Formats: sequence, C-alpha cells, structure tokens
Amino acid sequence: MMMRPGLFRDDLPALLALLIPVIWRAQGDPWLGPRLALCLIVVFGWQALFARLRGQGLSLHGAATAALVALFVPDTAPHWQLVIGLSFGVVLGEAVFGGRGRSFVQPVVLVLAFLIFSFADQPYRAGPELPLWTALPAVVVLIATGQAPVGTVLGAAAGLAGLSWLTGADPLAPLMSGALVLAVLYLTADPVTSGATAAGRWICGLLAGGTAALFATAGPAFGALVFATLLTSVFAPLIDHLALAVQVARLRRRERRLRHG
Amino acid sequence: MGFPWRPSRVPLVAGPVGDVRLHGTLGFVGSDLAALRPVLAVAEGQRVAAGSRLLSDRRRPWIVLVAPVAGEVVRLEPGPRRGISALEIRAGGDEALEFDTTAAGSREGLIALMVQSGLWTALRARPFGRVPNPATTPDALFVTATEARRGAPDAAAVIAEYEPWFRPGLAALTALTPGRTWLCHRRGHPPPQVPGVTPRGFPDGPGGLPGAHVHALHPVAHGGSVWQIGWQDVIALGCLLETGRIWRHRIVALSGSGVLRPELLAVPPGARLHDIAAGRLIAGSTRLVAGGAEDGLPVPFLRRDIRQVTALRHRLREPGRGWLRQLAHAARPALIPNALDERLAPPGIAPVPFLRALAAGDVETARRLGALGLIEEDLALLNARFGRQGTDYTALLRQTLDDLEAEA
Repeated sequence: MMMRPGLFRDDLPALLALLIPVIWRAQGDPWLGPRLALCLIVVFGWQALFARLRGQGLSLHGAATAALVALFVPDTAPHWQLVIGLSFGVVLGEAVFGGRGRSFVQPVVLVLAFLIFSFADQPYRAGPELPLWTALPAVVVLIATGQAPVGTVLGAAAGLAGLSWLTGADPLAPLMSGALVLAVLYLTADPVTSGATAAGRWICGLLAGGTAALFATAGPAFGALVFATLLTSVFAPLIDHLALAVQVARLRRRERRLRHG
Repeated sequence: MGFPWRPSRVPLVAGPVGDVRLHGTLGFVGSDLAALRPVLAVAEGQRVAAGSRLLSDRRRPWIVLVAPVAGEVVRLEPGPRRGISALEIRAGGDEALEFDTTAAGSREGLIALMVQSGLWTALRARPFGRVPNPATTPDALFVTATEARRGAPDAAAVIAEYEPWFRPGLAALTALTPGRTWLCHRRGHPPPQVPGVTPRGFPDGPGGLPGAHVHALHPVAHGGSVWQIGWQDVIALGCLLETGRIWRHRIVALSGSGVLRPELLAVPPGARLHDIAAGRLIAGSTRLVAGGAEDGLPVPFLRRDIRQVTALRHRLREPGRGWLRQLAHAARPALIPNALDERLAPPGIAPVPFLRALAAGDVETARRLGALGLIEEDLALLNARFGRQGTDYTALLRQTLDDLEAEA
C-alpha cells in the first residue's frame, strides 16, 4: 500500500536526505550552522508573512529551501548578501505567486542566480565540494517518494553526460559531483517547475542537462546548471503545451481507429 | 514515469455469503435519488411490495425507484425544490410484484421491463455519466466485472455462484446496442461464455475501473457514446427475467481494519450501514463508510451501486497538534505533482494538466484532454491523493461535465 501524501511522505524525507550533506559540510565549515539558522529565519519570516496575509498555512518545504541555499553558497558569503538574495528568491520566485505549487521557478534557483549575477566578488558559481555518496540518500528518497520525476533526473543526467562528451569534456565528471547530483534532484527535477507531462519531463531534463554542459564550457559546472535550470523552467510550460498537443493528437487518431475499426 | 515498483495486488473478498438482519429502516437519501423532480407513487404509511414503484422523474420517466423489499413507507420528507430529502421503508412481509417478462426478447420489451422494475437506472452513459435516454442507442455496451478498490467483492467468485442468472441477464443486454457488448472481467478468471458478448480481461486496481475499459476498447473522449452497467445489475436482470421478480439483494463486501473478518453479505439496497456491520466489528470505536477505505462516504444508508462497506478503526487522536498540524496541513494547498500518485490516473489522461484545468474551471482544455471519457468514479482514486482540503476534483469534474452537457 502506498502512503498518503503529506508531511510524513513528502516533506520530512526530502529534508532528512539533506541532513547528510549538511553534516558533512559542517565539519569543514564552522559557519554553516549560523548560516543555516539565518536562512531558516529569512525563509520562514517571509513565508509566515505571506501565509498570514493570504490566510494560508505554512509548510515544511521552506526548510528545504533554506537548507539548500545554506549548503550551496560558499563559506565566505557575507550574510547581508544572503538575506537580500533569499528575500528576492523566496518572495518573487514563490510567495507572490501564492506559494509552492503555484510558481514557475524553483526559489532556490532564483536565489542562486540572483547571487551569481549580483555579487561577482564571491565564488557563488563554484558550488560546494561534496562527495558523491552524500547525495545518494537523496537519490533514493526523492525518487522513491515520487518527488523527483524519474524522467527529468535521467534526462538531465543523459543531457549532461552527452553534451560533455560532445564538447570534449569528461562525460562522467558532472555525475561524480555530489553538489551537481543534489542540484539536479532538488532544483532541476523539482516536480512543480520541471514539466507536468511524462514527455515534457524528459525534454526538460535533457534541455537542462544539455544546456548546463554547454554553459560549463565557459565556467564552473554548478553555476552552469543553475542557469540551465532557470532557462528550462521558463520553457517548461511551452514544452508541456507541445507535449500535450502531440499526446492529444495521437489519442484522437487512436480513438478514431478503435471506434471505426 | 513512475518508480519501477510492482503494483500491489488488490485484495478482494470472497467466500460464503452471509445474511443481514434488518433492525432499522431502509433509506434513500435525496442526493442518491437520480430524479430531479420526483413524481411520488406512494404516500407515508402505505404498504409496498418488493418491486412496486416508489417514485419516478417528471421529466425523464425512465428514472424509476422501486421498493427493494416489501414493507411500509414510514418516512417521506419533502426536500428543497419539490424534491425528496428522505424516504424510508420498514421491511416486513414477503409480497413481491410479478413482472411480465414475455416481451423481454425484443429491445423495446426489455427497455420497458427494465424501466418498470427500476433496473434501467443501473445503466450509465458516457459522456456525461447520466442514466441514458432509452430512445438513444449506444455505440457499445460495457459490462464491468472487475473491481478497483481493496476489499471489494470478488466479482469472479460471485458471478460463478450466480451464473444461472448472470448468463440470461447478459444475453438479454446485448439487445440494447447495435455495436459490441464487452464483458470486462478479471484477467485470468474467464467468465461464462454468452453468444454476442466479447469478453476481455483487465487487471484489478485502477485498471479495473470502467473508464479504463472504455479507453482501451472504445474511447468516447472525442465523440461517440457508450453505456456501462455493473456485474451485480446483470445478475439482478437475470433474476428478474428468470423469476419475474426483482432481485431483493446485492452482494456487499464488509472489510477494513475494524471488522472481525472480511465477509460477503446479501444486503437489500438502501440498508443501514449499522445493520450491515452489527455484530461483525471489533471491540472499540470504528467508523463505517460506504465504499472503499480511500474514497468511501460516511452516509447512513447504502446506495444500490455501492458494493462494499468499510469499517475503519478510529484513530484515537488526530496526528499532529498545533503548529505541527499547521505545517502538515497547509490551508488550500496547491497541486504538487507526484509520480507515485499520478499512477492512479485513468489511462489516456495526463493527470497534472487535467487536474489543473479542472481546478481552474478551464472547461475547453478539460474537454480537449479527455474529460468526456470520464465520470466521477474514474477520478475517485486520483482525488483521494490530490484532492485534499477544499479541492474536490470529482466535484469539479461533475461541474465541468455539466457545463459541457449544457453546451452540447
């Protein structure tokens, strides 16, 4: 029997899977704890304000947003930059649309893109150094609870490996980085922003992975994946529209054949 | 794309059929009566025989409700807009109306008999999910002999027991359509062979819903129409044809975490859930719902088309309190796509865009994505996952179908 959706099937496991990379990183980065606390305060502050204005409840998903930002920024990042970046991403990426499930960009992607764009003095593009094994629990948990569409994850992996090979880079290098794997799972394969149809999800994954490998020829792979994901989430509604048009046309043809055959 | 897990088997209830002692009345609640403007055929205090007409619809005279058992009408309450809000019968006596079945060989004779005996309302037409107008003819007829929910009666076992009635009922139904009559049965359990009927095997679970069968064999999402009927109503028609009297029972499965053991019971339509479960529940508090565990309804009486009663152990305390509960249950949550839940979608439907179109009231997109091929029951399993707190996608589908019907 499958579990019902909600806190215990969706939000908590996704959060617990982030615990391992956070603990691993905290060993070499004493500021991770305070940074995480700051991110949590900023995210939940904005969420509580909008929840109150709209008469909605809170959700635990904000904790994952805060943990991902705290994990992905460099340890030298000034806290005032984080506050501005988080406020921008959480408010304009999610809250103004009505909360999670109603927006079209992943807020963490928007936060990171904003930080990379605005503050060139910090190495936001580089992403953290995480071994692959710290990301493996997240792979299992997010796919087993249905939160990361398998099509998007495989599409992104195929796109990254394939285009890296074509551009002459090592095709397996992006898949060996824990930070990239986590970013693909939580950001690229976010179920809300990565396409709503089966075909659309594969195409979104391939597009994100492929463009990330292309962008990576001119900079670090992590920043490339963030921008590739941002680009893909903008195109996701169009991709879905086309995928649905093809699906409906095929179903209609099949219906005519069955009705008259 | 789902995670490659094997779908779990759907446990069904089989075994000897027990009897139910009726202490209370049989009831028909206003919302269950398909009639919009009823014409009453009985008055309060009047005695009725099994099969005698209780009411019919003013505009659509083929919608007829008959008394399932002999007894006395003890309560008859008028409802809003000249409707009936409640009709209750106290069972007693053994009188039964004799129907003339000699003309049932022809299509007109069969229709007249089914309308008279209240069996016509067992048919549903797609698109729109209404009781069909007998003046129309469907392109195909679907007989559903599969179950989609855990704890439902094992159709194959019960049909085997009632084969002397199932067979003539099925043979008679073929007259309703010039097209094919499909018998959709459990895969691996071949049903009785009847000339003119095409059997087809389907899996249990979501694939056992009539919507899945219609999609696989004769889709109507973009044109055409089909009718469907459940396997128990085929048995009921066979009983009527063979004996001249209506079948006074339906076989109902009682299951769930709150019962001593799951079992099959012969229950008259409209029976009180409490009467059905009396003496069969575990000690401690339980909650009875008509239907399956995921989408059952806490109603007092069992509708004729519902074949299972589920007793659920009461949770002593709601999980989570205060702030934790507020976190767990966001008010008016948006739809978050989930690959596991999407596997419960009816085939041929892209679940997330379809549910979004329903929620947005986008009738045209819903139609393009296949709304006309669906009725409420097809969406029930999906709704149990996605429709939480405030968003009832089955009700939204009904609204969408009503809008599309008004347009047509």
